[in-house]
Amino acid sequence: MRNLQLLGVILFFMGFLLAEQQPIPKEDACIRCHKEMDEEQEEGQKLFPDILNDIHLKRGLSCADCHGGDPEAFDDEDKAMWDNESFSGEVSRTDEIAMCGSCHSDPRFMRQYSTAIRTDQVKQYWTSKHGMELKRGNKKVAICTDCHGVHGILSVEDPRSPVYDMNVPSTCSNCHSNSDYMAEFGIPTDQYYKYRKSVHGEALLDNNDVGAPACNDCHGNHGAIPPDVSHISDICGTCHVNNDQLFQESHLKPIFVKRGFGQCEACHGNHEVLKPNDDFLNWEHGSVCVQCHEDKGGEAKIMADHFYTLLDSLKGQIAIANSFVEKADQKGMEVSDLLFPLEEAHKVLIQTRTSIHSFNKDYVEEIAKPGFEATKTAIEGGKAALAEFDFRRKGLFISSLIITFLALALYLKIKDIDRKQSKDKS
Amino acid sequence: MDIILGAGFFAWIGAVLYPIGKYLVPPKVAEMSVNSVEAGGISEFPPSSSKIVRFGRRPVIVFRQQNGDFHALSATCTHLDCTVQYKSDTEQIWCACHNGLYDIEGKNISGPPPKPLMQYQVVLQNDKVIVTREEMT
Repeated sequence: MRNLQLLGVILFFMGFLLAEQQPIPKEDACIRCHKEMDEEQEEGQKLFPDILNDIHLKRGLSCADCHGGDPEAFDDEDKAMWDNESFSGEVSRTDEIAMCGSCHSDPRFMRQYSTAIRTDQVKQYWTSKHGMELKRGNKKVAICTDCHGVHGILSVEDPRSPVYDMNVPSTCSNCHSNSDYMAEFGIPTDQYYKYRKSVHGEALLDNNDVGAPACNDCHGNHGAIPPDVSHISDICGTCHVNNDQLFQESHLKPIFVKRGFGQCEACHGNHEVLKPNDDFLNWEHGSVCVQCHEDKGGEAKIMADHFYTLLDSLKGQIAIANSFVEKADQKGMEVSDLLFPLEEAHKVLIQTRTSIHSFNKDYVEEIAKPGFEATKTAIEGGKAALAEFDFRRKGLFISSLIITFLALALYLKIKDIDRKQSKDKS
Repeated sequence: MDIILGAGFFAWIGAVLYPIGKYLVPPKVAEMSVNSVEAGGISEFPPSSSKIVRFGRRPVIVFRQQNGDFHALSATCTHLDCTVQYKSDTEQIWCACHNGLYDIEGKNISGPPPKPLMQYQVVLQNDKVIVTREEMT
């Protein structure tokens, strides 16, 4: 056993050593010279050591593969760069897309690194808002290196990469939250601020839930473009399938389309999608329905009131069931059996909230029904557990009384026997 | 005095025997720590069907593929605890809350679920479908 533990420790540290000993880029003429030059560079301008982590260098590519030149021309600057026809030096912003695409759009070339790797990034890029603007000659738009980094590009799966899921919002915000930089485009710059407060931002950035959407999940990444109003529900529906499906089949869908409303967005917002709460239906306080249904009555109010009351009622029943179960639990009764219907009721509550996207009273009631049944089971179980507790307490009191009474009776009997024996002797 | 003593003695006997009797008779509540549950008869599971059964406090989804194979997985999505469903058309496990997908072995294959669903074993015994705790993951 000790040997196994020792082996485990050795393997653990070997893991670290192996991690450190990833392929070191070959020191060619470019690296040798630029390493020396790097020492004179200011912080922020230095290539090293970040460039040594670059995924391209690690996979055997060299500086010359992007910049041209002769990487074998050691100690001859002219031969390495200026006299070499292939040398391009700094890649211009307009040429960069084609340069990256020369490898990344070639399936045969890319397949050697991963069979599953995508090669449509450039094609998508030219359909994006960034690509379209670049085509028009606007060099301020994002190109490959603005998001992925320049020297020291990391895999998108590396948490240090600016395009790793959790880093995407701040990477996009580098430009999109800069009001001076974005001024000429005439679009808002509060998206990151709003997203950060949203349920998605909270899930991704606070709870590290990488399944939560970042900017690229709704807008696309290489083909980033603002979603068309009529297709917002398709995008939200990628994850919120049931909500989308119910809404698509609801009587409200054609009305939203006809009036040009942003479907999900009309009630939930876009970047600042807050955690929905039941007050969305509370006509008197916080209802989102009143944004369109300005009238104070009508069928919309009746429906909203009905849903709100139904949810409130189910929540109330869950709260009652919870209080009975908690009370019984505090008294030391076995209540784990009651947690199942309680969990069931919670799940039904979520399903009921989802079902509201159908805007169909009968359907919503049908969905909520098992929740009320589950709370009934939990309440009855909780009451039974409390009744059992009372019974046991009373039983303990009565049995204590019986034992005390019996002890007293025995004492008196013994005294009586003693007295009789004394009387007989005398 | 003897009558009082006799009555007291019998009451004491009752006070001692009642809790013993209650201890020996199994309680009405279902046992929490279970190692196996009966999900129903085999005939209740036609091909491409599923059923959520209670395994102690946990919901377990038992499903039968088109080819007749049975599987049982934890029915609680590993993302945000929603209850999953069996999609017979694609033979996958689906969570409707955020479109999470698992394969029939419970492995998370698409969407936000961060880890696989716990596997249970299915044993067919005397025309009954028995789900056992012997988790394989």
